[in-house]
This record gives sequence, C-alpha cells and structure tokens, in this order.
Amino acid sequence: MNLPAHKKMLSAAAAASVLLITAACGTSEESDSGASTPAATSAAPTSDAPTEESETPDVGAEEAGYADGTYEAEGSYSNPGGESTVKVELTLSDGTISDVTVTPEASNGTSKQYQTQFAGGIADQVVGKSLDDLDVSKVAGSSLTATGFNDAIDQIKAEANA
Amino acid sequence: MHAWTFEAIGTAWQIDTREPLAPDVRAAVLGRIERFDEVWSRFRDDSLVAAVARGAGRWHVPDEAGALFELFTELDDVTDGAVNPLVGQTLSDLGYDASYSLTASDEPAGTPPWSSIDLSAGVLTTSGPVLIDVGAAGKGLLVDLVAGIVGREVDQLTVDASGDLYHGGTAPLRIALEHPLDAARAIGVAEIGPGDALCASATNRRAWGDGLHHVLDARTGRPTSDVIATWVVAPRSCMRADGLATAHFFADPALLMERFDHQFVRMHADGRVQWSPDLPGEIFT
Repeated sequence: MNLPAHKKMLSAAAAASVLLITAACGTSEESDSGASTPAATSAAPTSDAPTEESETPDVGAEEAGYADGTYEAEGSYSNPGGESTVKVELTLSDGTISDVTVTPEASNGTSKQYQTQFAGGIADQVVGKSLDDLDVSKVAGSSLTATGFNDAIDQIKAEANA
Repeated sequence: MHAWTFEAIGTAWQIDTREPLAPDVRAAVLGRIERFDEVWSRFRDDSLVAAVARGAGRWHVPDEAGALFELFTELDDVTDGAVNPLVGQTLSDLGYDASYSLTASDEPAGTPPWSSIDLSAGVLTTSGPVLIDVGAAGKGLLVDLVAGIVGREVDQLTVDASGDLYHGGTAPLRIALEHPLDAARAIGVAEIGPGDALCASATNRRAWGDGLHHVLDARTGRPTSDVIATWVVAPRSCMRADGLATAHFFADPALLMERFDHQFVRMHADGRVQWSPDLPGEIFT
C-alpha cells in the first residue's frame, strides 16, 4: 500500500478508535453474503490488534493475516456527554488497511462534538471541477475581494512595467 | 430574482431579492454601511479606530461593538492569541496600510494582547495607541446588519459581500467553493439552508511581496502559511462564520468544532483539504 503519510495518520487514528470502542461486534461483507468467512474472523482485527501499535496501523492487520474485505462495525462507549455510538467501515487489501470511514451516530450534542475529531474528511491535492460544469447560484472565494487592494496591486504592476 | 450590485468598503456587494428593493431601503442599506465604515475603517483618518490609534483614551462605541468584541474574546482564547484585532499596526507596518503602500517596514510593531483594551457599557478604554483591525469578523458583522435591514422588508434575500454571505428565505442555496489557486475551478459545493451564513477566506489574493498577506498570526506578527483558504458555514450569524473562517487558519479544527456550532472546509498549503463530517455539501476528491 502506498498511501501518503497523513492518510496513514488518519487511518491510524481511526484504527485506534476502532480498537478502543468496538467490542468484537464486527461483521464482514463476506459473512453477510453467506461466504465462508465466519463472523468471528472478521471481528478479530479489532479484538486482537494491540492498541500500542496504533501508530503503525498496517502492522497489526498484516501480522495476524486477516482476510481481505470490507469490515463494518458499530461500537458504543460512555463519555461525559452520555452513551455514544460510531459506525466504522474499514477495508483490508493485501492484509493492510486501505480505507477507513468513521461515522458518528451520537444523539446528543456533546457526544457529537467529541466524535468529530476523528470523523472529518481529508483529501490530497483537490483539483476540483470547472465552475462551468457546476449548477450553483454563487461562488465563495477570494477572487472578488478588496477592490482597493487589487487596484493598488495593479498600480504597482503598471509602475513596475513603466 | 433581482440582483442589486454595488461597491462598498472596498469590495463588491450583491443583494438578491425577489422584487427590486425600494429606494428608501437601498438608502438605508448604504447609510448603514457608511456609518459602519466611519467607525471601523482603518483606511480613513476620520474613523473612530483612526482616533483610537492616535493615543490612549475613552470612546463611546456603537452597539454592534458588544457582540463583535465578545466574539473576538472567544477567538483570541480558542486560538491562544493568534486571532487578535490589535494586530492592526503590525499589518499596517507590513504594508497593508491606509494608503496601500504594500511596502513592509523592517521593524513592524508588535501586537499588544487583546486583554489590554476594555469595553464596558458601550465605552472603549485604552491605555495607549492601538490600531484595531476588525477584519477577522467585521465584514461578516456588516453583512448581518445589512441583512437585518433588508429582512424587515422582504423574506427572500441573499446578501453577498464577496466571500461573506448570508442567506434568508425558504429555498437552499448552492455555492461553489472557489479553488484558491484557480478561480475557474471549485474544490466543492456547499448547500446552505435559509438562515445560514457562509464565509470564505483565502490568503493568496490579498498578498504582496515575500510571503506577505493579510492573515497575520498576532503572536508572531507574521502571515500564517500552513492553511491557505477556509470556508465556514454557521447558523444565523455571518459575523460568527467570518470569525471562525479566520480562526481556522490557526486553531485545531477539533477544538473549534467542540466550541462553536459550525461546519468548515480548509485547504493547506500542500493542497490537502480537510472538512467537517457534517458539511452540507460535497468536496470533489
């Protein structure tokens, strides 16, 4: 697996969360579809992987030799804001974690806030889409800001070219 | 929809309503903006903040200062002093001054702590000359004030002051999030509901030589460099959305999410984009 460093960090954080909060309640797609993998196997990544290795998320899964596939689990835990649950979906490819999605399912405001710290999105080098291809009413950015400032810049450029 | 466009406080404004606004409403809007400018503009020497910058004293400030300074205190706290409106003199010394000299002084002034000035019962008290720059949330506040005036007349309105936007009415509004390095592209789309505000902030446009731009870390007096653009959606208050968009250049997003009701997107200098899980919209990954 060749993920950029910060993606691994995110995976590490999310994996650590899995380790802490899921009490072996995972099911895999394979077991859901009636394939050979029993539910107990799919729960193994969360129960066996040692938490102290959370900074190297790939190692735990690899050494234990877990089956590739997508694992989904729901976990609950207590916090000062009450009982909270999160849904975690992770994909193993060649024995390593290739994707993790954490969805908070907190019902009260405080818990929801606690969970946001590991459930936000992150992406590399967002190229975006052409504005021409979008159906929007407005554009929010900086291109129209500060006409006085832009005038000054234009003036300096003009003087520099004179 | 009818669009009324005009220039004010050095930027382009657009107010969308179903029917054209009556002349007296337009006059009230422009008058309110002018009164705001007379108090808070550091780009004119007859403003209140220009007077405050000349020396210690006591000044009566308008009502809007209460909510604005309260927000500044929260932002100063959550960013450990990185967001501090007293950065005005530093910003001015770096070249973003009243005459737009865009020429940096070799020894820009340091920034006094936010706690060094006091606002009580509508009176501002200072113990020395300080240049207040309300840029971190001031334009958002002005959008709220304008939306308040327009909202008394019509129930469908969108006030867009180039990057700071308040949407009132019944239908949601789809807004492209402009790529900070390519104005022809969007990194995503946000769909905000009636009563929501969206603010965008980026460091690349208002930038001049040698890594200088208008978003300063008040602790160091230097422009921030890790985050290059932020967007924030917040309910009901464009001022808060604006202030949080500034705070996202400096603070841990998890901390901001914990303390303030809002959603965010932010782009780092290396092109990485982060956003909150409950963002009402989509990032084009």
